[in-house]
Amino acid sequence: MPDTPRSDDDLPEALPEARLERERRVSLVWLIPLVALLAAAWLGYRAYTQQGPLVTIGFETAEGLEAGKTRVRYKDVDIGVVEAIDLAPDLARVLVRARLAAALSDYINDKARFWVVRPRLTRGQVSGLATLVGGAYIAADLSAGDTPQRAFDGLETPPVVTAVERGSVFILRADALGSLAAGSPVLYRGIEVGTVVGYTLRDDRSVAIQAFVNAPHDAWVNANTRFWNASGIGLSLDASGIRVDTESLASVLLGGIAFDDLPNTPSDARAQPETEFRLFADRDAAMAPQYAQREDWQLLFAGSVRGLVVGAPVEFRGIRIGEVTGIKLRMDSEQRRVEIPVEIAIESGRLGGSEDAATRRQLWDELVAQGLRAQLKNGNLLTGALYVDLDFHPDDAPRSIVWDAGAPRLPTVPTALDQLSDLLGKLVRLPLDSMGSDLAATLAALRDTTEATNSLLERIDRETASELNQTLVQTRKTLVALEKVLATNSPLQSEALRIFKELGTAARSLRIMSDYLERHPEALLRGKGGPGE
Amino acid sequence: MNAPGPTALARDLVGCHSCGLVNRWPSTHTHARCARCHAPLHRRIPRSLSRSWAFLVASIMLYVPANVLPIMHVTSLGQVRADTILSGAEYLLLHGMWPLALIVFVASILVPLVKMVILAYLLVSVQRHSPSRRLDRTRLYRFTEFVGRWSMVDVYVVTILVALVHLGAVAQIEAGFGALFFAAVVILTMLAAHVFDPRLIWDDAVTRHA
Amino acid sequence: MLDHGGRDPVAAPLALGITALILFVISNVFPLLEFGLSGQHDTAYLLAGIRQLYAQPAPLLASVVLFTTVLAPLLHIALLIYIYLPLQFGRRPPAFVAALRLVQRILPWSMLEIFLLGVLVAAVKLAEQATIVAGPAAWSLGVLVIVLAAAATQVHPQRLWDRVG
Repeated sequence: MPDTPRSDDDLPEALPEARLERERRVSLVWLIPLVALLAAAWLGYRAYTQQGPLVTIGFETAEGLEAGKTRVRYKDVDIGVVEAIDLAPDLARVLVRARLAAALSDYINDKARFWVVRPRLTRGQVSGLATLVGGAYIAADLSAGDTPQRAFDGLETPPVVTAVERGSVFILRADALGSLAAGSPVLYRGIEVGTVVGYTLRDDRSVAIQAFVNAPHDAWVNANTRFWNASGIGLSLDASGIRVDTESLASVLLGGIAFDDLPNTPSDARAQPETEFRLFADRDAAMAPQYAQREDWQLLFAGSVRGLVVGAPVEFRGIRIGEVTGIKLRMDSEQRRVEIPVEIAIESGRLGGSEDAATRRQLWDELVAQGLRAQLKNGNLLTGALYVDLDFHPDDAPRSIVWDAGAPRLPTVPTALDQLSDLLGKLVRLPLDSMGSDLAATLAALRDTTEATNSLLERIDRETASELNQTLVQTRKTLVALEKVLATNSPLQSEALRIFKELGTAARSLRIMSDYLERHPEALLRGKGGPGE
Repeated sequence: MNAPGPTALARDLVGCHSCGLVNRWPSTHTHARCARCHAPLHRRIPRSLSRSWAFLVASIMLYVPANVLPIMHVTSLGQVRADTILSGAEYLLLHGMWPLALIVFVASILVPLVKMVILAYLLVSVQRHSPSRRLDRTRLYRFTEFVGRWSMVDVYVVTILVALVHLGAVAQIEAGFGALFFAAVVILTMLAAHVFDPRLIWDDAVTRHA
Repeated sequence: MLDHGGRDPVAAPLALGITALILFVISNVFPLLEFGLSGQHDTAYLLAGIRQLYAQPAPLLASVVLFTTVLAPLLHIALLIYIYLPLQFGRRPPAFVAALRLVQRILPWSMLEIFLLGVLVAAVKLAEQATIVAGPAAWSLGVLVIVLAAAATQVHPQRLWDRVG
């Protein structure tokens, strides 16, 4: 035993002193567990440092998700794995805990979004089919942000726009959502430049639609941009006829939003993201000039207003300056008559534009004095739609504006149809009988004229006959001369004869050939055979 | 070696299983404990032959379902394939992995069979007090005791495959009943070998010699 | 060195036992195999595999595997440390005899080396269709098998009794 102290009393002095080594207190065998411990420590350290953030994502259901197996992916790259799936304390949701890659911890912030990729049918497209075989996974949308976050509400449907896509979201205010849905296209001149991202019902019961416009097209949205609903087929039957409006086939099926600048307006500075716009019902409504100030007028028409609708245009010599805002029926009890006041709104900028009310009033008075009248006109004979036409009728009896307390009343002239019926009335009153007897007299005179013409013709007949005879004699002489030319011995004759003879020879040889071909039709293909054949 | 000296039993000596101390134990007494470590002493493993037979018969009975029933069900894209022990080795062979096929064949098919045959032979030969080739039989016994455990390899392969391949519709492996029976066969043959006392092979020779 | 009394009958088994314990922890905590098929990945842990088997349900088979690959080796390692740690400090652990007996009994049932072969066979079987990467547990398991085998050769009950007795 090496560790037994021994005395060297009974040993000879001659023996050399052993080189004493310090006793190794610890056996070398302990290196083995030490190495193992170091390996374990290194593995543990590596696992700990590589361990990324643990996030909790709430979902409606854990369908297709599996703890330890379901992956979290960003751009189809594995960035983590689901570690556990639990129920929320109130059982309303499923809480999925996922361990993400450590390198991404800076990106796990309030802007991160998570959703489950399963096979689904959206926007008429089937997506996530690969997950049928490979199983569902959680997709992540990450972007740089400042506020770290570890608990998330998972999206139930995949986001239409991920943070990778650049562009701007604009808020569109509408009365109703219509056939729009998340994913509906946003079109600019028929080209898809964005998508509807989402919609919310506001407290005032209007619908706020978030429309995402991709960069760089979002730069085209400015204060003069109008958005309208391009869903379905717009079929309008109005004073301008039948019109069919569609932006694209896709928008017909899926709904969509279109936008464009107002015509003839300068493009303003680009609108900031999240700017709110009004969503018009259709292109016409969107493109209709929206003047801030509108003047209300009242018109009283004598005839029927059948065919006139609210919204019908008010035009001045074909230029739209306003629209019909109301058609009422009013009993004037004092005067014991029924009148139909038609309320119209005229863009104040269009006619008699002036800032000062007094000046404007004076101007209108002057225009009416010059003969400005309102008239119902037939916009479309087929549909019978009417519109209000303002024009100068200088022939009309002078009238003036009734500046009522409410809307001032503009003088009117009868409808064009009314005028036509006036014309018919005049026709009815025409003295047709006398006109008939006049006509008989005329006819008698005409008969006389015919007789006169006949006698004239007879005279012409007589006087021209001798003349004609002379012409005939002359003609005969010419023919005799011609005969000489064609005589037997004339050069022309002999030449012709020679040609005919040659023709006869040619015809004979043709007959011979046709005879031969009849007997040997194969000669056509093979050529003429030898005599022995 | 064919004429060994008297055994410890004959000289009233018993080795302790636990500490290895050789105790003096007069054969007139039936129960004794080790002088050093107080472990119970046995001259021979009690009822060695009958217990060994019981384990062996049980393992032979279970050997049939172990080979007939599938050890695992492989579901791949809707298709279910059942693998038995033999078809597993065959699969490896067909796919050109013959060294592996050999290991699986030897460990899973040959070893249990050979082990059962050897055990049966040893038991029968001891019961018949056969005097022939005692040393070879002892070596056979040591061989079976060493090699028997390796038959478990197929059970572990199934375990790992089950743990690894659970990909839903793509691929899924489930353990079949064959694996359980096979594990039972391995364990039973191990127990049969364990309770068999190889000293019995020599006892007969000693008594005759004495 | 002039005098060498052979390897220390206590220090070597104890060191190997502690090494085995560390490796055993690694083998059970870290992934055994990483498996990739058609874009899907899966990681196999020893204990998770047994749990999977248990849930299939194959509880009996799972128990067999659990006993032979987890409990028996753990008991073996724990007993090694239980016996040799007090001896290192010159004390005799309680139930020393029973512990020694148990070590000898448990040894055939600790089948980690066979399990390792099973891992190899399974990996080769799958390697044709899928990507298989050995995890840290697979390597530590390989070392563990060697360490346990070395520990088994270092355990000499007679020498222990010589020392203790």
